[in-house]
Amino acid sequence: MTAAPLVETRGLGKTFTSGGWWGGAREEKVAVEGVDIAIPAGGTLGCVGESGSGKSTLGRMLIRLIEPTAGSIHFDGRDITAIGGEDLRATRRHMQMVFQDPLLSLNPRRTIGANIARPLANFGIRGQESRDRVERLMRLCGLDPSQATRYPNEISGGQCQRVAIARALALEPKFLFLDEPVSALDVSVQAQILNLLLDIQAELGLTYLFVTHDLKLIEFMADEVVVMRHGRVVERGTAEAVWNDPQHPYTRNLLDGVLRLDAPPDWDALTRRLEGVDTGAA
Amino acid sequence: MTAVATPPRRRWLRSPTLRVLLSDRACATGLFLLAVICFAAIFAPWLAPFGPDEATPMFRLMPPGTEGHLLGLDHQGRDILSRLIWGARLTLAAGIIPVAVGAAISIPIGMIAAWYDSLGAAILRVMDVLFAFPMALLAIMVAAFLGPGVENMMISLVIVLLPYNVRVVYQATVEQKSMPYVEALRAAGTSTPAILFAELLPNVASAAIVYSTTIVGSIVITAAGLSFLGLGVQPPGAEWGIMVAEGRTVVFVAPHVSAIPGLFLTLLVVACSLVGDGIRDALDPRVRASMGS
Repeated sequence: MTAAPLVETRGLGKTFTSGGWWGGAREEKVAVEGVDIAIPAGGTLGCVGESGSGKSTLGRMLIRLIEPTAGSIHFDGRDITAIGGEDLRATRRHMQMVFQDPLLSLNPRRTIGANIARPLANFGIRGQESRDRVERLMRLCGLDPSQATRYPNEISGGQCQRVAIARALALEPKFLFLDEPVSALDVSVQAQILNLLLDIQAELGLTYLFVTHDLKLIEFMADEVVVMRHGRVVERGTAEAVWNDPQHPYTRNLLDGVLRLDAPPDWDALTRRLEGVDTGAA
Repeated sequence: MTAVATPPRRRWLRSPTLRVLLSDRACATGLFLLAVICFAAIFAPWLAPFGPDEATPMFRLMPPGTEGHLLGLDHQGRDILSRLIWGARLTLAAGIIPVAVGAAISIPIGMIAAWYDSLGAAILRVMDVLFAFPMALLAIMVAAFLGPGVENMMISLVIVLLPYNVRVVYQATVEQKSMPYVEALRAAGTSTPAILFAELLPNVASAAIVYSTTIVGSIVITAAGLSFLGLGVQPPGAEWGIMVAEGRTVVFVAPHVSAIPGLFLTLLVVACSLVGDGIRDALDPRVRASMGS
């Protein structure tokens, strides 16, 4: 890869602890362990794994919503692992997130316009300038600016996700963490949102971390892929290589679950997989 | 009347919440009773035939129906109807002001307790201590400590209310805190005060307000109880609780002196709880759906 990485991690890890002292026995759960990734500026890294594989935790650590317990995060050539306070707040401008559930990711008591304007207000952009920018963002995301006065529960899930994307773009970030951005949407709407994300990436030169459990989407969205399992990266490579020639048995297992267009489904393999649920992979 | 000829109804009648409230018979009755009592309290100088302290000792303890004194006279010869009307002011104020102040104080406390885990644990443990006492006992303790008087009575009622209110706000905030939109706010660099008081407040305040309306009744009765015990409104002040207390000495000779204010107190508390339950139901989307609005 020629371009310098915009986002890079070294040995990143997160161990959640619960309980202790008054809360019963102290328990530790390793969510992410020893992850090294590098996302080149303007590129998309796909991250696949089943639920609980640590992929969302990884993304949240990159944008500093979860504090890592090991390793380091570098953003735009700068170590941001331990920054805090105003420094962190200023850095947040450059990295934003799109959530899985579009409706829940918007404040239900605020209008769509107010939801998009909140990040702007955080950085001192108010009044007419804020209204102009909200209007531009809504157009960019394929929304009618006259809808700015409506509430999230009055519009469809696909439109909510467009609002969420507009809000994520409000601060003109360089990096977007897309946490299963289409898995809560209808299939027909999924394609629209994915295309919107690709168009915006081409237009604004954004860098994406695209997290999903749906392998079909990876080939469509990502240049490179990491496959995660139990908090570790088990396979990495270009999207094409992983798709066509998976090396790790877990990846093959994941791929078996996808109905491919270029070959008839291997029903025997599917049956084997369903019968032996986890044993085949372990 | 045909649908076309229906005149446009007044706008406030079309508010779905109000429509549900009024279509609930029990709640509508409660609202009517409250409206009558509030009306009496506001227009007391014009409605009351006598002043609250105006006494004609000659007629003391005369029963209801005495000429010119519809509900009779008390042990000092004061007109009971007039004292009831004047007393509605303090009785209502003693119920409503502590509830409003309590809600206003508990919202920031509950939200902060929910936001900061360790501080929250400390706040909740303090509330648990207050919870351990029965409502009336705690009110008596605090009022006795502060000394008698209307202001001290209200302060003690606010303290009694606090643990309940803080719990409600805490729960509502914890529920909101785990929502993805709060995470989105954090990711967008929103400061904690802005998240709590600009974004979360409307989602949390409704829970606190609904809860407050349901407890006005029990606060009214606790306030009257404090006055009855001599810790709240002092004689010769007119308040329904103290009217019951003053009639106590003559209860075998002239039971109406205690019974009439007691009856009105009961009506007020019942009205409060009917309205409170009605508001709680009206704001519950499930009930609202079943009422077809």
